[in-house]
Amino acid sequence: MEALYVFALTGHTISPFVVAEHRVEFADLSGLHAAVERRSELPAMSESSLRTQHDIVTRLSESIDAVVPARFGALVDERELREILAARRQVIQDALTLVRGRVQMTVRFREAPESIRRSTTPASAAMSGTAYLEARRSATRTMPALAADVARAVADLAIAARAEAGTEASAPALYHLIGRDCVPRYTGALSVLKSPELRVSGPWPPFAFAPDLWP
Amino acid sequence: MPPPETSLADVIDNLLNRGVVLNADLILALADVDLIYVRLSALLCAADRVLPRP
Repeated sequence: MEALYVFALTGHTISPFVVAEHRVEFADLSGLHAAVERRSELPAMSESSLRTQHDIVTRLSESIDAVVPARFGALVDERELREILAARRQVIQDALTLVRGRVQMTVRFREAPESIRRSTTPASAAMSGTAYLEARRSATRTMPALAADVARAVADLAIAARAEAGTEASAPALYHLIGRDCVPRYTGALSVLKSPELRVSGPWPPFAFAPDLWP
Repeated sequence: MPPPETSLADVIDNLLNRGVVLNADLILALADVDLIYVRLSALLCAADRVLPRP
């Protein structure tokens, strides 16, 4: 049965377009717009499919001023999606307002803090998935001290910020939402820190500022 | 401004760890996605760890 594969919720629509044989069109659902592809199965989990979806969302973000990206795997029955959007309409509208005219910048810290590395249980083949996840969640999560310097350096540019403490699998990261025309100032402000521990990337569609729709 | 160079680490982080979750099935699968994220991160890129220091 055909369903909707959702790339993003958007503030308005543009003409349908095609990326790597994926036709992206817009569905009007409960007064909200969704950039979708009509298909019956999830895309395979592969680097190629991830990059294609990322390219599609990036193109949407370049063409539409307010885009809330969907997570990979959002294959939804149209009626179900309509109900979800109707139930969370205000949350989504607020998110679209927040991201309008803005982009995400990502700052990663190259080394996880010592506290994380020490306290993390290494994954092993014998460990069950549940045990592994519990070990990950119980790991000490702290941000490196440098994160405070980063926050101060871009305080006048960041409309919103999210922090993700590192785990054994990922380095700590900061996500900032900034104006689309503020990217050079943002990267310039961080270059002043001259820290080899930082990796700055972006501008990206505002993936990290998507709302949580589920209780 | 030219588009940023898109590393696989950024693609994985953005699409598997961020973004709005629209389907209940995905909520149930998030633990698996978490593991996939870990494995992809470790196996395919681990860019946070392996990027050469300047």
